[in-house]
Amino acid sequence: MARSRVTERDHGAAKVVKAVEGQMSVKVGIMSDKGSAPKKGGTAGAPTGNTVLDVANQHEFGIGVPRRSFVGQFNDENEAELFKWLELVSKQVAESKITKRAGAGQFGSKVANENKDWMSRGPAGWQPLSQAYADKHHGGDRTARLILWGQLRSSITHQVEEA
Amino acid sequence: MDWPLIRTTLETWVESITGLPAYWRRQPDAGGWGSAWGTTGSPDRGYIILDIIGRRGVGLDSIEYEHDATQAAGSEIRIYQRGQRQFTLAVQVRCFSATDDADSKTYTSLLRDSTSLPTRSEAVFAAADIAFARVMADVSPGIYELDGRDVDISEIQLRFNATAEVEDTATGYVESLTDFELLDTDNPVPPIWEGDIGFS
Repeated sequence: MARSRVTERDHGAAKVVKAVEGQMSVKVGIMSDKGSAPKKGGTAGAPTGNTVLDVANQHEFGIGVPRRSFVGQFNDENEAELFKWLELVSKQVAESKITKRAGAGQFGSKVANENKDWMSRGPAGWQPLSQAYADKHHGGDRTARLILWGQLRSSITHQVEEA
Repeated sequence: MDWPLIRTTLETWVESITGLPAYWRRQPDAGGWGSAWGTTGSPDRGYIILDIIGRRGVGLDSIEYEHDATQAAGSEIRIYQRGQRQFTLAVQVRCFSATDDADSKTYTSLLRDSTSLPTRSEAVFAAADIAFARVMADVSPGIYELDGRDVDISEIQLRFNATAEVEDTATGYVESLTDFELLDTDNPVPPIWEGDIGFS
């Protein structure tokens, strides 16, 4: 009776599978720690009575002010770039050059920093400042950036979680 | 792209699914600016604010030549520039807890369900040459005071695909389709109201 034998040789697949198995979750935006801080305001930076998250939501969703979506619009406009960065990081993880957690951290940090830069540049489509606000904080320049204390912008961070 | 038709289609679709009145954010009489309801006051019941929050081209535009033998000599060849476009519609539901039967999340869930049961919606969108792609975000920022009332707010963001087309002019010039047509050029922008909440 004929006999057959099957030999399985691992050429590195097991290592790749081990490197990439399991999922990581990356959140980018205003997290609860910085979001719960009192929001600075006025000309002296005194607390306004609002939290950073209150103000973030008002601008992100246009509640009581013209909409200036600083997280959603960034992601929407830069989706293709985000996927490219994710692909680069995923490749490094698959090649075991970095761990999944480190890769997720690198990706989150990159997205958060790019989000801040994008916000600083003054995204297209945002309405100019009201004259009253411009007079009070920017010498009447309605085209000035809406950045006064930098608190909201610097509150954009990332968070890595194992799903 | 026929923006007026697209706007009307989306507005009608949202109103038919939710039963709430919908207003475009920059519509002069809308409350999208928070305090811009003027002397009429905001609606007694909940309402919806619509907004296009992102738009972009996808891939490369193409130039296509079409031959129509029925046309007069010299006019039988038409040149078109075509390209794929995407835009994101933000549907923000605002409910008053004291007068509404349902909270804002209920209405955004209705819209989400409607997109996942697409038979009816697909036909409505196809008539405006757009197609629903996917849900980009579905969030509830919470309860905020607007017009002196507590307003419960939820928002769903829906991505749509569309095709842009520009027909050649008599001189043969083909217009660039890099930028979208602006959506609100026909509507005067209402007074801007910042309050003094500061930004960053």
